[in-house]
Amino acid sequence: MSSITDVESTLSRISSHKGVKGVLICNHSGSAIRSSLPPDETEQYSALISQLASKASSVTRTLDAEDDLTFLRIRSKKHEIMVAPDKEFLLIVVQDPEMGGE
Amino acid sequence: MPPAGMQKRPVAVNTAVTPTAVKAGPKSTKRPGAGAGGETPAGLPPILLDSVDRTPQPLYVSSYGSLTNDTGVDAVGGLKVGSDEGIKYPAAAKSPIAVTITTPTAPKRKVEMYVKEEKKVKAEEEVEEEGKKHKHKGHHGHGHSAVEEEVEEKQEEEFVITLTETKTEFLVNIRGTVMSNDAPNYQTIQKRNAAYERVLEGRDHADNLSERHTQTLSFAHKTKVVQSEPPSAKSMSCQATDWDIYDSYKGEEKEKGDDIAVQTASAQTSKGDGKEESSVDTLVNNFTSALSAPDCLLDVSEAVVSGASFASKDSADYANSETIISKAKNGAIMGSPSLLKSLELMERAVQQNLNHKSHLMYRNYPEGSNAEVVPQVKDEAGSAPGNDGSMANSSMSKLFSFSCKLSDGRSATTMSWNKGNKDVLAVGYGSFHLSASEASGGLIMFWSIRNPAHPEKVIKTPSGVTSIDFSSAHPNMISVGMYNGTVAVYDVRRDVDFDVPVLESGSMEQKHMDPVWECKWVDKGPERGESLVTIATDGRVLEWNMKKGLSLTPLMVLKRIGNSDGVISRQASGLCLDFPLDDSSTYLAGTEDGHIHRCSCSYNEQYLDTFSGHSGPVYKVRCSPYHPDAFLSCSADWTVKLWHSKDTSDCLREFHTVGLSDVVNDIAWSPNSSTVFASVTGDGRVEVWDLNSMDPKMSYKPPANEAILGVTPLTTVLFSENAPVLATGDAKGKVDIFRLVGMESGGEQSEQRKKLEGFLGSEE
Repeated sequence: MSSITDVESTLSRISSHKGVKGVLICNHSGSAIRSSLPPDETEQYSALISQLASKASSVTRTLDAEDDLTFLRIRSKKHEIMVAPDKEFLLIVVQDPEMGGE
Repeated sequence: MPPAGMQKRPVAVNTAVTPTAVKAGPKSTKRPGAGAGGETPAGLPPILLDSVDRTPQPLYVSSYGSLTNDTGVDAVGGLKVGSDEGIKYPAAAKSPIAVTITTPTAPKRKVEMYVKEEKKVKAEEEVEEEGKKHKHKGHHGHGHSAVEEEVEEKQEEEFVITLTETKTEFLVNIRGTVMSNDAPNYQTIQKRNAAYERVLEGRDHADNLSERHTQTLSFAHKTKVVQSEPPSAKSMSCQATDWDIYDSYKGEEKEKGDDIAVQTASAQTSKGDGKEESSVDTLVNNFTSALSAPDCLLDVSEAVVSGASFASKDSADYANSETIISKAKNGAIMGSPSLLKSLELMERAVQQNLNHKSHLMYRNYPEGSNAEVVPQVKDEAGSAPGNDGSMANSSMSKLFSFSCKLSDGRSATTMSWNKGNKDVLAVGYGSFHLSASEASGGLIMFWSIRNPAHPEKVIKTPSGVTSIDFSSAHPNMISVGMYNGTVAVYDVRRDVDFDVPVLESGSMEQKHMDPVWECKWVDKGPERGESLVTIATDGRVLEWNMKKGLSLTPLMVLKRIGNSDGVISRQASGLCLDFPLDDSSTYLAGTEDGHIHRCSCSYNEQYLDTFSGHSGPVYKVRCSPYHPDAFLSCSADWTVKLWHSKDTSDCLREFHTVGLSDVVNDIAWSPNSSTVFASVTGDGRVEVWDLNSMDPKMSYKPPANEAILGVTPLTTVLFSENAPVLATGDAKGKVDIFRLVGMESGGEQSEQRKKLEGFLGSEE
């Protein structure tokens, strides 16, 4: 399927970007499907982020039932966690934003 | 059998089926079969309760004679006391009891009945007599009088109701122990009684009567206790959030509204992923619920049940169905298009992090410190004296570089901004001369600043791309001219098969046989719409029309002028083409000989004008967007010339940078400022000029370290219309975006034009 190769190539491109520490795909229950981080970090990220994403989604939908969460960014002192949720999975990228633009 | 002691058999008792069943109703008569006209199967007229048919169905219908009024029934349906006529058997009855029977289930509401029957069935006198008393109601004793009046106007009906004796049901039957002396079997019973008494007497002394006693043992009680596990209880809780309720509601509605056919159709057309996923889903659900139940006898560990599914290749895991299922599920997720979308979104977000400042500069957001962030190239002339201040302190800084591995081996030959969405830049990749990459075809990549590392879309073409142009009338159409002479039109809105052109000049005779160096969409007015004009090395200018497929009209054959001895062909090779502002009937064509010809679309024999002056092939001709008479041309003779279309003798101005000894590949007018234009050269320089000065306002050369590897010639340049940026493409396939600082728009349209005119006029 060409979409698998597209997916793979995009995934590898993102992983090789400046400042990107890791890319992780997990499902909504918190178990990882694909990850470029070490296993313990993967587990942590997937468990914590999936809960947060579902809470964030609950917030947006409670405010307006027809709305839904499309993207979530958490910027901390050291890095930025970007989450793209979907119906079946969550795509999480951890990037160090300082290394880029400055 | 009637109970003893009753003299008569009152039929009335039996016929009164239940008190509730026989309802009030005075005399209503109806002839049964007299064309009753009622729609009900029993022959009754329909009785409508609030427009709903609630005709009481009779418990028994027969076809006996009609009823009369004066039977022994009073208003409540009971028998009139002392009625002589009495109640007669149906068989012998001349006038059965007139009652109205309703079912107990009739609604207990006050009912207004509208009778549809129009025919008066019974004799007139009866009707009049009973006019006021005829009631056709199913009510249960309430509000007689009110309904009376209402029904006054209604038609009257006759009912025939016949009563018969019902079956006798015995509820209790206690037989007595006493009988009378004159009963038929008195004697036998007497004898039996006497015999029994004798038996009773002889019981005390009988020999064959013995009494015995025994004692049975009662065993000791033993208590046995069995304990069973309580049924496993699971506590489930759920938080009903607003959106949860909303979702369920929507789901229900959708179920109700869905057509079955639609559902099956959609199920069939859904992608294989979806189907696989859903079946895998149910499998997984079943398995997990089975495996995780506390009573499960399988020896399953917690970790396995929770579905940890890292890429483990142990054979032990393969034996476990859970892992297999989760692997399949994950595989489905990995290939799903929504993952692709999320990845694209994510890539843009990642890029945004990296390029945030550049994005802001592109969009011209006012930001205090953006001047220091990115390395710049300063204005060479400093603040030029004598100019309006708009060009003072101007500089260029590189924002992005669009490059991607896909374009390796090809050079960026042409660029075009999309007319609809002015942020999208289409870049054509191919080569200017026959090269090794020609066999692999060409590319068109659509770039957006959101992702400088990868194009939004890539179209592969069979041959190297030498010119592209987006259409203005249909912003999703892009025309492509290729190295092998093919002209094709692609639709960028397509999601699938966008590699397939909408129209292609593939096998048409008279198509171009040589590289198509320029293709331009031109608006020929409301009747003819937009048509495409192309020019190629074979010296022909063709006009293409898209009305029915692709059809072409030759506009011109460029003939060589001047000395035509000893040349291989009498035709000049056309290299560039442009239409003046607002004029779609004449155009300018530049040739390899260095001549620029002004031609007319309707006259294909001769040139209107010829401008000579260049000593090398003219690579690009560009008309000013502010003035129809001014145009620029750039050529391989290292110069850029400014012409006035009325003056064919010589150019107005010639621009040649000191130190430039390479071809000028492309020029572009600035859309914001009428006297500004940019040029790119074969030694990698980008120069921005103002007509007023002889030297470029800004000149950007690649930094020294790049120069070591050899200079990359820049091949195309374009100003952006909605952002203060300049795009340049080079021979390695890289496209750079430069931000122009200090070059804000010099004023409105008319002012600009005057400026240019003044400039043009002053030179004559």
